[in-house]
Amino acid sequence: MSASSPASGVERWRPRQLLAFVAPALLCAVALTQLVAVGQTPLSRWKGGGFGMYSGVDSVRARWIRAVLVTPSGELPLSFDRLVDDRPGLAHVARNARSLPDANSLAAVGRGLMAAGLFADCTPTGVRGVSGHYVKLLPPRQLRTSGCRRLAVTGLVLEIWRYDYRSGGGKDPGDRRLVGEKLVAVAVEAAPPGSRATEQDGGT
Amino acid sequence: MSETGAAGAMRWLPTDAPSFDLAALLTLLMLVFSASDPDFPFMAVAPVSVAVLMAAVIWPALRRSRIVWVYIAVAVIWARLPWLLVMDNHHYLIAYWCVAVASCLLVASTRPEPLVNRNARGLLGLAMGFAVVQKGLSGEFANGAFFEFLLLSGDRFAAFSELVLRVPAADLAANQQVVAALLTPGATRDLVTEVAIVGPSYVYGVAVAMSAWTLLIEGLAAVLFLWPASHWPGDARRLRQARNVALLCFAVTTYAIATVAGFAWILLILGVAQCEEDERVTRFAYCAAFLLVLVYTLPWGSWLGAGLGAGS
Repeated sequence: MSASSPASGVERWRPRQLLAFVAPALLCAVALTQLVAVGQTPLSRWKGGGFGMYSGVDSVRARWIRAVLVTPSGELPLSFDRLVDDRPGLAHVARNARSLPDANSLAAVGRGLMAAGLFADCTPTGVRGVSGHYVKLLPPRQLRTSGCRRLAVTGLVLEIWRYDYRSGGGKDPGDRRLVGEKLVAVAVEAAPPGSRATEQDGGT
Repeated sequence: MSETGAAGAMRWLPTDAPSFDLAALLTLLMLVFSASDPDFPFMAVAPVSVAVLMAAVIWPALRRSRIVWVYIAVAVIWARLPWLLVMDNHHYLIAYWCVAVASCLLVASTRPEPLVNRNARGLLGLAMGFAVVQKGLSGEFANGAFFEFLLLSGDRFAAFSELVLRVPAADLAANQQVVAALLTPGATRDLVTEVAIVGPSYVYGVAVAMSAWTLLIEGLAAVLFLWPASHWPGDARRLRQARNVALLCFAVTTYAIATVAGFAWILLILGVAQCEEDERVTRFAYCAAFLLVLVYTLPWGSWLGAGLGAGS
Protein backbone atom coordinates (compact mmCIF):
# COMPACT_ATOMS: atom_id res chain seq x y z
CA MET A 1 0.00 0.00 0.00
CA SER A 2 2.82 2.38 0.67
CA ALA A 3 5.75 3.38 -1.51
CA SER A 4 9.17 3.80 0.01
CA SER A 5 11.63 6.41 -1.13
CA PRO A 6 15.08 4.76 -1.49
CA ALA A 7 16.83 8.02 -0.68
CA SER A 8 15.11 8.83 2.56
CA GLY A 9 13.79 5.41 3.58
CA VAL A 10 10.53 7.17 4.46
CA GLU A 11 7.33 5.58 3.18
CA ARG A 12 5.31 7.88 0.93
CA TRP A 13 1.74 7.62 -0.33
CA ARG A 14 1.11 8.07 -4.00
CA PRO A 15 -2.26 9.66 -4.87
CA ARG A 16 -2.94 6.78 -7.25
CA GLN A 17 -2.90 4.35 -4.34
CA LEU A 18 -5.98 6.03 -2.91
CA LEU A 19 -7.82 4.30 -5.75
CA ALA A 20 -7.52 1.08 -3.80
CA PHE A 21 -9.84 2.50 -1.12
CA VAL A 22 -12.56 3.73 -3.48
CA ALA A 23 -14.90 0.77 -2.90
CA PRO A 24 -14.99 0.83 0.94
CA ALA A 25 -15.23 4.63 0.84
CA LEU A 26 -18.15 4.43 -1.59
CA LEU A 27 -19.89 1.88 0.65
CA CYS A 28 -19.52 4.15 3.70
CA ALA A 29 -20.69 7.26 1.83
CA VAL A 30 -23.82 5.58 0.44
CA ALA A 31 -24.69 3.77 3.68
CA LEU A 32 -24.28 6.90 5.83
CA THR A 33 -26.38 8.93 3.38
CA GLN A 34 -29.07 6.23 3.51
CA LEU A 35 -29.02 6.22 7.32
CA VAL A 36 -29.60 9.98 7.37
CA ALA A 37 -32.30 9.69 4.69
CA VAL A 38 -34.15 7.00 6.67
CA GLY A 39 -34.30 9.40 9.62
CA GLN A 40 -35.36 12.42 7.57
CA THR A 41 -37.63 10.93 4.89
CA PRO A 42 -40.02 7.98 4.50
CA LEU A 43 -37.28 5.98 2.71
CA SER A 44 -37.64 2.28 3.51
CA ARG A 45 -34.81 1.05 5.73
CA TRP A 46 -34.46 -1.96 3.40
CA LYS A 47 -33.59 0.15 0.36
CA GLY A 48 -31.00 2.69 -0.68
CA GLY A 49 -27.79 0.78 0.08
CA GLY A 50 -27.71 1.15 3.86
CA PHE A 51 -27.72 -2.61 4.60
CA GLY A 52 -30.98 -2.29 6.53
CA MET A 53 -32.56 -5.41 5.04
CA TYR A 54 -34.32 -7.64 7.57
CA SER A 55 -34.14 -4.91 10.19
CA GLY A 56 -37.83 -4.04 10.32
CA VAL A 57 -41.27 -4.72 8.89
CA ASP A 58 -41.28 -1.60 6.71
CA SER A 59 -39.95 -3.14 3.49
CA VAL A 60 -41.26 -2.24 0.06
CA ARG A 61 -43.48 -5.33 0.30
CA ALA A 62 -45.19 -3.66 3.25
CA ARG A 63 -46.09 -0.63 1.15
CA TRP A 64 -48.82 -0.30 -1.43
CA ILE A 65 -50.41 2.28 -3.68
CA ARG A 66 -54.14 2.87 -3.44
CA ALA A 67 -55.81 4.30 -6.53
CA VAL A 68 -59.26 5.86 -6.44
CA LEU A 69 -61.06 7.19 -9.48
CA VAL A 70 -63.23 10.21 -8.79
CA THR A 71 -66.43 10.24 -10.84
CA PRO A 72 -69.58 12.39 -10.62
CA SER A 73 -71.37 9.39 -9.13
CA GLY A 74 -68.76 8.76 -6.42
CA GLU A 75 -65.34 7.24 -5.75
CA LEU A 76 -64.25 4.06 -7.46
CA PRO A 77 -61.24 2.21 -5.94
CA LEU A 78 -59.04 0.46 -8.53
CA SER A 79 -56.25 -2.10 -8.48
CA PHE A 80 -53.19 0.10 -9.03
CA ASP A 81 -50.87 -2.78 -9.91
CA ARG A 82 -53.10 -3.83 -12.80
CA LEU A 83 -53.33 -0.26 -14.07
CA VAL A 84 -49.53 -0.05 -14.48
CA ASP A 85 -49.09 -3.69 -15.44
CA ASP A 86 -48.44 -3.05 -19.13
CA ARG A 87 -46.89 0.40 -18.59
CA PRO A 88 -43.30 -0.38 -17.47
CA GLY A 89 -42.22 3.28 -17.38
CA LEU A 90 -44.97 4.22 -14.91
CA ALA A 91 -44.48 0.98 -12.98
CA HIS A 92 -40.81 1.85 -12.50
CA VAL A 93 -41.61 5.35 -11.19
CA ALA A 94 -44.20 3.79 -8.89
CA ARG A 95 -41.68 1.25 -7.55
CA ASN A 96 -39.26 4.07 -6.76
CA ALA A 97 -42.08 6.00 -5.09
CA ARG A 98 -42.86 3.03 -2.85
CA SER A 99 -39.23 2.95 -1.67
CA LEU A 100 -39.04 6.69 -1.17
CA PRO A 101 -42.57 8.09 -1.23
CA ASP A 102 -42.86 11.64 -2.49
CA ALA A 103 -45.75 13.62 -3.88
CA ASN A 104 -43.97 14.64 -7.09
CA SER A 105 -43.26 11.08 -8.23
CA LEU A 106 -46.75 9.98 -7.33
CA ALA A 107 -48.26 12.93 -9.19
CA ALA A 108 -46.13 12.04 -12.22
CA VAL A 109 -47.56 8.53 -12.13
CA GLY A 110 -51.08 9.96 -11.84
CA ARG A 111 -50.56 12.30 -14.77
CA GLY A 112 -49.06 9.46 -16.77
CA LEU A 113 -52.11 7.29 -16.12
CA MET A 114 -54.53 10.09 -16.99
CA ALA A 115 -52.66 10.70 -20.22
CA ALA A 116 -52.39 7.00 -21.07
CA GLY A 117 -56.00 6.63 -22.12
CA LEU A 118 -59.59 6.80 -21.04
CA PHE A 119 -61.11 5.01 -18.08
CA ALA A 120 -63.87 2.74 -19.22
CA ASP A 121 -66.40 0.48 -17.56
CA CYS A 122 -65.84 -2.84 -19.26
CA THR A 123 -68.10 -5.07 -17.23
CA PRO A 124 -67.61 -8.02 -17.16
CA THR A 125 -63.91 -8.07 -18.25
CA GLY A 126 -61.05 -5.91 -17.02
CA VAL A 127 -59.75 -4.57 -13.75
CA ARG A 128 -62.27 -5.20 -11.02
CA GLY A 129 -63.34 -2.21 -8.97
CA VAL A 130 -66.04 -2.01 -6.32
CA SER A 131 -69.80 -1.74 -6.87
CA GLY A 132 -69.65 -4.37 -9.60
CA HIS A 133 -67.61 -2.17 -11.95
CA TYR A 134 -64.83 -3.54 -14.10
CA VAL A 135 -62.64 -0.61 -15.02
CA LYS A 136 -59.98 -0.52 -17.74
CA LEU A 137 -57.66 2.18 -18.96
CA LEU A 138 -57.97 2.08 -22.74
CA PRO A 139 -56.44 4.10 -25.58
CA PRO A 140 -59.19 6.22 -27.24
CA ARG A 141 -59.04 4.22 -30.48
CA GLN A 142 -59.46 0.94 -28.62
CA LEU A 143 -62.35 2.32 -26.61
CA ARG A 144 -64.48 2.70 -29.73
CA THR A 145 -64.13 -0.95 -30.67
CA SER A 146 -64.04 -2.44 -27.17
CA GLY A 147 -67.71 -2.25 -26.38
CA CYS A 148 -66.84 -0.57 -23.07
CA ARG A 149 -68.60 2.47 -21.71
CA ARG A 150 -66.46 5.55 -21.13
CA LEU A 151 -66.50 6.70 -17.52
CA ALA A 152 -66.89 10.38 -16.73
CA VAL A 153 -63.79 10.96 -14.59
CA THR A 154 -63.13 14.17 -12.69
CA GLY A 155 -59.89 13.07 -11.07
CA LEU A 156 -57.60 10.31 -9.81
CA VAL A 157 -56.42 10.01 -6.21
CA LEU A 158 -53.21 8.09 -5.53
CA GLU A 159 -52.03 7.24 -2.02
CA ILE A 160 -48.97 5.38 -0.75
CA TRP A 161 -49.61 3.33 2.38
CA ARG A 162 -47.51 1.12 4.60
CA TYR A 163 -48.37 -1.23 7.38
CA ASP A 164 -46.90 -1.26 10.84
CA TYR A 165 -46.79 -4.36 13.05
CA ARG A 166 -47.94 -4.00 16.65
CA SER A 167 -47.29 -6.88 19.00
CA GLY A 168 -47.99 -7.49 22.66
CA GLY A 169 -44.58 -9.16 23.00
CA GLY A 170 -45.82 -12.73 23.39
CA LYS A 171 -47.92 -11.98 26.49
CA ASP A 172 -51.16 -11.70 24.57
CA PRO A 173 -51.19 -13.43 21.16
CA GLY A 174 -54.53 -11.74 20.47
CA ASP A 175 -52.82 -8.38 20.55
CA ARG A 176 -50.92 -8.81 17.26
CA ARG A 177 -52.10 -6.36 14.63
CA LEU A 178 -51.08 -4.84 11.33
CA VAL A 179 -52.07 -1.21 11.10
CA GLY A 180 -52.10 0.72 7.83
CA GLU A 181 -50.65 4.22 7.70
CA LYS A 182 -50.98 6.68 4.81
CA LEU A 183 -47.60 8.16 3.80
CA VAL A 184 -48.39 10.38 0.80
CA ALA A 185 -51.49 11.26 -1.21
CA VAL A 186 -52.01 13.24 -4.40
CA ALA A 187 -55.11 14.09 -6.38
CA VAL A 188 -54.74 14.56 -10.13
CA GLU A 189 -57.62 16.36 -11.76
CA ALA A 190 -58.89 15.29 -15.13
CA ALA A 191 -57.92 17.96 -17.62
CA PRO A 192 -60.40 19.41 -20.12
CA PRO A 193 -59.90 17.94 -23.61
CA GLY A 194 -56.72 19.29 -25.23
CA SER A 195 -55.00 20.35 -21.99
CA ARG A 196 -52.77 18.54 -19.45
CA ALA A 197 -53.92 17.02 -16.19
CA THR A 198 -53.31 19.07 -13.04
CA GLU A 199 -52.53 17.69 -9.61
CA GLN A 200 -53.06 18.72 -6.00
CA ASP A 201 -50.58 17.62 -3.37
CA GLY A 202 -52.42 16.07 -0.49
CA GLY A 203 -49.32 14.61 1.17
CA THR A 204 -49.52 13.81 4.83
CA MET B 1 -12.00 -29.76 8.81
CA SER B 2 -9.00 -32.05 8.17
CA GLU B 3 -6.76 -31.61 5.15
CA THR B 4 -6.97 -35.32 4.24
CA GLY B 5 -10.72 -35.54 4.64
CA ALA B 6 -11.37 -32.73 2.22
CA ALA B 7 -8.60 -33.63 -0.20
CA GLY B 8 -10.72 -35.80 -2.46
CA ALA B 9 -13.51 -33.32 -2.79
CA MET B 10 -11.04 -30.49 -3.37
CA ARG B 11 -9.79 -32.11 -6.56
CA TRP B 12 -12.85 -31.00 -8.51
CA LEU B 13 -12.94 -27.50 -7.05
CA PRO B 14 -10.24 -25.01 -8.06
CA THR B 15 -9.33 -24.33 -4.43
CA ASP B 16 -5.65 -24.70 -5.35
CA ALA B 17 -5.91 -21.46 -7.28
CA PRO B 18 -4.85 -18.32 -5.45
CA SER B 19 -7.67 -16.64 -3.53
CA PHE B 20 -7.85 -13.78 -6.00
CA ASP B 21 -8.30 -16.05 -9.03
CA LEU B 22 -10.91 -18.19 -7.32
CA ALA B 23 -12.85 -15.14 -6.08
CA ALA B 24 -12.67 -13.60 -9.55
CA LEU B 25 -13.97 -16.79 -11.16
CA LEU B 26 -16.88 -17.08 -8.69
CA THR B 27 -17.73 -13.39 -9.22
CA LEU B 28 -17.82 -13.83 -12.97
CA LEU B 29 -20.02 -16.92 -12.67
CA MET B 30 -22.38 -15.08 -10.34
CA LEU B 31 -22.64 -12.18 -12.78
CA VAL B 32 -23.27 -14.56 -15.69
CA PHE B 33 -26.12 -16.17 -13.76
CA SER B 34 -27.59 -12.80 -12.77
CA ALA B 35 -27.50 -11.68 -16.41
CA SER B 36 -30.42 -13.98 -17.12
CA ASP B 37 -32.53 -12.73 -14.21
CA PRO B 38 -35.76 -11.65 -15.95
CA ASP B 39 -36.90 -9.49 -13.02
CA PHE B 40 -33.72 -7.54 -12.74
CA PRO B 41 -31.86 -7.14 -16.03
CA PHE B 42 -28.64 -5.87 -14.50
CA MET B 43 -26.51 -6.78 -17.42
CA ALA B 44 -28.97 -5.20 -19.80
CA VAL B 45 -25.97 -3.77 -21.58
CA ALA B 46 -25.52 -7.40 -22.70
CA PRO B 47 -24.81 -9.25 -24.94
CA VAL B 48 -21.39 -7.54 -25.01
CA SER B 49 -21.15 -7.79 -21.23
CA VAL B 50 -22.12 -11.45 -21.18
CA ALA B 51 -19.50 -12.12 -23.87
CA VAL B 52 -16.84 -10.37 -21.77
CA LEU B 53 -17.88 -12.32 -18.66
CA MET B 54 -17.84 -15.63 -20.51
CA ALA B 55 -14.47 -14.90 -22.07
CA ALA B 56 -13.03 -14.16 -18.63
CA VAL B 57 -14.55 -17.36 -17.24
CA ILE B 58 -12.92 -19.39 -20.02
CA TRP B 59 -9.49 -17.67 -20.23
CA PRO B 60 -7.81 -17.32 -16.82
CA ALA B 61 -5.49 -14.55 -18.07
CA LEU B 62 -8.50 -12.29 -18.61
CA ARG B 63 -9.46 -12.65 -14.96
CA ARG B 64 -6.46 -10.49 -14.09
CA SER B 65 -6.98 -7.98 -16.87
CA ARG B 66 -7.51 -4.47 -15.60
CA ILE B 67 -9.35 -3.56 -18.82
CA VAL B 68 -11.81 -6.42 -18.33
CA TRP B 69 -12.49 -5.50 -14.69
CA VAL B 70 -12.84 -1.78 -15.37
CA TYR B 71 -15.36 -2.69 -18.08
CA ILE B 72 -17.22 -5.02 -15.71
CA ALA B 73 -17.26 -2.42 -12.90
CA VAL B 74 -18.58 0.29 -15.22
CA ALA B 75 -21.18 -2.04 -16.78
CA VAL B 76 -22.40 -3.27 -13.40
CA ILE B 77 -22.74 0.26 -12.02
CA TRP B 78 -24.31 1.59 -15.24
CA ALA B 79 -26.89 -1.18 -15.25
CA ARG B 80 -27.76 -0.50 -11.58
CA LEU B 81 -28.17 3.27 -11.77
CA PRO B 82 -31.92 3.30 -12.61
CA TRP B 83 -32.56 0.83 -9.80
CA LEU B 84 -30.80 2.59 -6.91
CA LEU B 85 -34.00 3.02 -4.89
CA VAL B 86 -35.38 -0.37 -5.72
CA MET B 87 -32.55 -2.89 -5.68
CA ASP B 88 -31.56 -5.03 -2.73
CA ASN B 89 -28.41 -4.29 -0.76
CA HIS B 90 -26.39 -7.19 -2.13
CA HIS B 91 -26.56 -5.61 -5.58
CA TYR B 92 -24.79 -2.59 -4.07
CA LEU B 93 -22.22 -4.91 -2.51
CA ILE B 94 -21.62 -6.69 -5.83
CA ALA B 95 -21.01 -3.31 -7.47
CA TYR B 96 -18.57 -2.25 -4.72
CA TRP B 97 -16.73 -5.54 -5.09
CA CYS B 98 -16.36 -5.10 -8.87
CA VAL B 99 -15.06 -1.57 -8.26
CA ALA B 100 -12.64 -2.93 -5.65
CA VAL B 101 -11.20 -5.54 -8.01
CA ALA B 102 -10.86 -3.04 -10.85
CA SER B 103 -9.23 -0.39 -8.66
CA CYS B 104 -6.80 -2.87 -7.08
CA LEU B 105 -5.75 -4.05 -10.53
CA LEU B 106 -5.27 -0.44 -11.60
CA VAL B 107 -3.02 0.23 -8.62
CA ALA B 108 -1.10 -3.07 -8.60
CA SER B 109 -1.73 -5.12 -11.71
CA THR B 110 1.10 -7.62 -11.20
CA ARG B 111 0.31 -8.47 -7.59
CA PRO B 112 -3.13 -7.20 -6.55
CA GLU B 113 -3.68 -9.88 -3.88
CA PRO B 114 -2.82 -7.88 -0.72
CA LEU B 115 -5.00 -4.96 -1.79
CA VAL B 116 -7.88 -7.21 -2.86
CA ASN B 117 -7.58 -9.08 0.42
CA ARG B 118 -7.88 -5.84 2.41
CA ASN B 119 -10.76 -4.55 0.29
CA ALA B 120 -12.68 -7.80 0.73
CA ARG B 121 -12.18 -7.68 4.51
CA GLY B 122 -13.19 -4.02 4.60
CA LEU B 123 -16.34 -4.56 2.55
CA LEU B 124 -17.35 -7.56 4.67
CA GLY B 125 -16.78 -5.73 7.94
CA LEU B 126 -18.54 -2.58 6.81
CA ALA B 127 -21.55 -4.40 5.35
CA MET B 128 -21.95 -6.40 8.56
CA GLY B 129 -21.35 -3.32 10.69
CA PHE B 130 -23.97 -1.21 8.93
CA ALA B 131 -26.43 -4.13 9.09
CA VAL B 132 -25.97 -4.26 12.88
CA VAL B 133 -26.38 -0.49 13.22
CA GLN B 134 -29.60 -0.58 11.19
CA LYS B 135 -30.99 -3.43 13.29
CA GLY B 136 -29.99 -1.65 16.48
CA LEU B 137 -31.74 1.54 15.37
CA SER B 138 -34.90 -0.34 14.43
CA GLY B 139 -36.75 -0.94 17.70
CA GLU B 140 -38.91 -3.72 16.27
CA PHE B 141 -35.84 -5.84 15.47
CA ALA B 142 -34.31 -5.70 18.93
CA ASN B 143 -37.61 -6.48 20.71
CA GLY B 144 -38.38 -9.49 18.51
CA ALA B 145 -41.48 -8.04 16.85
CA PHE B 146 -39.95 -8.11 13.37
CA PHE B 147 -39.06 -11.80 13.41
CA GLU B 148 -42.37 -12.60 15.07
CA PHE B 149 -44.16 -11.00 12.14
CA LEU B 150 -41.93 -12.75 9.58
CA LEU B 151 -42.56 -16.11 11.20
CA LEU B 152 -46.32 -15.60 11.30
CA SER B 153 -47.01 -13.72 8.07
CA GLY B 154 -46.77 -16.86 5.95
CA ASP B 155 -44.51 -15.11 3.48
CA ARG B 156 -40.69 -15.34 3.43
CA PHE B 157 -40.28 -17.79 6.31
CA ALA B 158 -43.42 -19.86 5.70
CA ALA B 159 -41.60 -23.18 5.18
CA PHE B 160 -39.47 -22.73 8.32
CA SER B 161 -42.51 -21.70 10.39
CA GLU B 162 -44.61 -24.62 9.30
CA LEU B 163 -42.02 -27.40 9.16
CA VAL B 164 -39.70 -26.48 12.03
CA LEU B 165 -41.78 -24.34 14.40
CA ARG B 166 -45.01 -26.25 13.70
CA VAL B 167 -47.08 -23.09 13.33
CA PRO B 168 -50.49 -24.32 12.14
CA ALA B 169 -50.84 -24.00 8.36
CA ALA B 170 -54.31 -22.55 8.89
CA ASP B 171 -52.84 -19.67 10.92
CA LEU B 172 -50.25 -18.94 8.24
CA ALA B 173 -52.89 -19.04 5.50
CA ALA B 174 -55.21 -16.77 7.49
CA ASN B 175 -52.40 -14.25 8.05
CA GLN B 176 -51.41 -14.38 4.40
CA GLN B 177 -55.01 -13.62 3.48
CA VAL B 178 -55.37 -10.59 5.76
CA VAL B 179 -52.02 -9.16 4.61
CA ALA B 180 -53.19 -9.56 1.01
CA ALA B 181 -56.41 -7.75 1.89
CA LEU B 182 -54.36 -4.81 3.15
CA LEU B 183 -52.09 -4.78 0.11
CA THR B 184 -54.83 -4.94 -2.54
CA PRO B 185 -57.23 -2.20 -1.56
CA GLY B 186 -58.93 -2.15 -4.99
CA ALA B 187 -60.23 -5.67 -4.48
CA THR B 188 -62.57 -4.86 -1.62
CA ARG B 189 -65.38 -2.37 -1.16
CA ASP B 190 -64.17 -1.02 2.19
CA LEU B 191 -60.72 0.33 2.88
CA VAL B 192 -59.05 -2.10 5.29
CA THR B 193 -56.56 -0.34 7.57
CA GLU B 194 -56.17 -2.78 10.46
CA VAL B 195 -56.05 -6.56 10.61
CA ALA B 196 -55.28 -9.14 13.32
CA ILE B 197 -52.35 -11.58 13.05
CA VAL B 198 -52.88 -15.00 14.63
CA GLY B 199 -50.51 -17.74 15.76
CA PRO B 200 -49.12 -19.54 18.82
CA SER B 201 -47.58 -17.39 21.55
CA TYR B 202 -44.28 -19.37 21.67
CA VAL B 203 -43.31 -17.85 18.31
CA TYR B 204 -42.39 -14.66 20.14
CA GLY B 205 -39.71 -16.46 22.18
CA VAL B 206 -38.24 -17.97 19.01
CA ALA B 207 -38.30 -14.51 17.40
CA VAL B 208 -36.38 -12.96 20.31
CA ALA B 209 -33.78 -15.76 20.13
CA MET B 210 -33.41 -15.26 16.35
CA SER B 211 -32.95 -11.49 16.82
CA ALA B 212 -30.29 -12.05 19.48
CA TRP B 213 -28.42 -14.63 17.37
CA THR B 214 -28.46 -12.38 14.30
CA LEU B 215 -27.15 -9.37 16.23
CA LEU B 216 -24.49 -11.50 17.88
CA ILE B 217 -23.14 -13.20 14.76
CA GLU B 218 -23.31 -10.09 12.56
CA GLY B 219 -21.73 -7.94 15.24
CA LEU B 220 -18.98 -10.49 15.86
CA ALA B 221 -18.24 -10.76 12.14
CA ALA B 222 -18.12 -6.96 11.78
CA VAL B 223 -15.65 -6.58 14.65
CA LEU B 224 -13.44 -9.46 13.50
CA PHE B 225 -13.23 -8.29 9.89
CA LEU B 226 -12.62 -4.63 10.75
CA TRP B 227 -10.04 -5.35 13.47
CA PRO B 228 -6.57 -4.90 11.95
CA ALA B 229 -4.48 -8.07 12.33
CA SER B 230 -1.48 -5.95 13.31
CA HIS B 231 -3.35 -4.71 16.40
CA TRP B 232 -4.81 -8.08 17.40
CA PRO B 233 -3.72 -8.98 20.94
CA GLY B 234 -2.53 -12.49 20.16
CA ASP B 235 -1.87 -14.88 17.30
CA ALA B 236 -3.01 -13.22 14.04
CA ARG B 237 -3.69 -16.67 12.60
CA ARG B 238 -6.37 -17.18 15.26
CA LEU B 239 -8.00 -13.93 14.17
CA ARG B 240 -8.13 -15.15 10.58
CA GLN B 241 -9.66 -18.44 11.70
CA ALA B 242 -12.23 -16.64 13.83
CA ARG B 243 -13.22 -14.40 10.88
CA ASN B 244 -13.75 -17.38 8.63
CA VAL B 245 -15.70 -19.35 11.23
CA ALA B 246 -17.95 -16.34 11.95
CA LEU B 247 -18.66 -15.67 8.26
CA LEU B 248 -19.29 -19.32 7.40
CA CYS B 249 -21.46 -19.71 10.47
CA PHE B 250 -23.46 -16.63 9.51
CA ALA B 251 -23.94 -17.74 5.90
CA VAL B 252 -24.82 -21.34 6.69
CA THR B 253 -27.35 -20.49 9.42
CA THR B 254 -28.88 -17.28 8.10
CA TYR B 255 -29.45 -18.28 4.50
CA ALA B 256 -30.95 -21.62 5.48
CA ILE B 257 -33.96 -19.56 6.60
CA ALA B 258 -33.72 -16.34 4.59
CA THR B 259 -32.89 -17.79 1.20
CA VAL B 260 -31.40 -14.68 -0.43
CA ALA B 261 -28.84 -16.56 -2.50
CA GLY B 262 -27.35 -13.46 -4.12
CA PHE B 263 -26.42 -11.96 -0.77
CA ALA B 264 -24.96 -15.21 0.53
CA TRP B 265 -22.88 -15.65 -2.62
CA ILE B 266 -21.32 -12.19 -2.60
CA LEU B 267 -20.45 -12.59 1.10
CA LEU B 268 -18.86 -15.98 0.43
CA ILE B 269 -16.94 -14.60 -2.57
CA LEU B 270 -15.58 -11.84 -0.34
CA GLY B 271 -14.72 -14.56 2.16
CA VAL B 272 -12.70 -16.39 -0.48
CA ALA B 273 -10.99 -13.17 -1.57
CA GLN B 274 -9.80 -12.35 1.95
CA CYS B 275 -8.25 -15.81 2.47
CA GLU B 276 -4.49 -16.00 2.69
CA GLU B 277 -2.80 -18.17 0.07
CA ASP B 278 -2.13 -21.00 2.54
CA GLU B 279 -5.80 -21.25 3.61
CA ARG B 280 -6.68 -23.91 1.09
CA VAL B 281 -9.14 -25.78 3.29
CA THR B 282 -10.93 -22.56 4.18
CA ARG B 283 -11.32 -21.74 0.49
CA PHE B 284 -12.82 -25.17 0.01
CA ALA B 285 -15.23 -24.53 2.90
CA TYR B 286 -16.36 -21.27 1.25
CA CYS B 287 -16.89 -23.07 -2.06
CA ALA B 288 -18.88 -25.79 -0.31
CA ALA B 289 -21.00 -23.14 1.41
CA PHE B 290 -21.50 -21.47 -1.99
CA LEU B 291 -23.03 -24.72 -3.27
CA LEU B 292 -24.97 -25.30 -0.05
CA VAL B 293 -26.71 -21.95 -0.51
CA LEU B 294 -27.74 -23.12 -3.97
CA VAL B 295 -29.26 -26.21 -2.32
CA TYR B 296 -31.09 -23.95 0.16
CA THR B 297 -32.87 -22.19 -2.70
CA LEU B 298 -34.57 -25.42 -3.83
CA PRO B 299 -38.32 -25.50 -2.98
CA TRP B 300 -37.90 -27.64 0.15
CA GLY B 301 -41.06 -26.18 1.71
CA SER B 302 -43.36 -27.43 -1.01
CA TRP B 303 -41.52 -30.77 -1.36
CA LEU B 304 -41.51 -31.57 2.35
CA GLY B 305 -44.94 -30.02 2.81
CA ALA B 306 -46.32 -32.25 0.05
CA GLY B 307 -44.55 -35.25 1.58
CA LEU B 308 -45.93 -34.54 5.04
CA GLY B 309 -49.35 -33.88 3.58
CA ALA B 310 -49.28 -37.20 1.72
CA GLY B 311 -48.13 -39.03 4.84
CA SER B 312 -50.76 -37.59 7.16
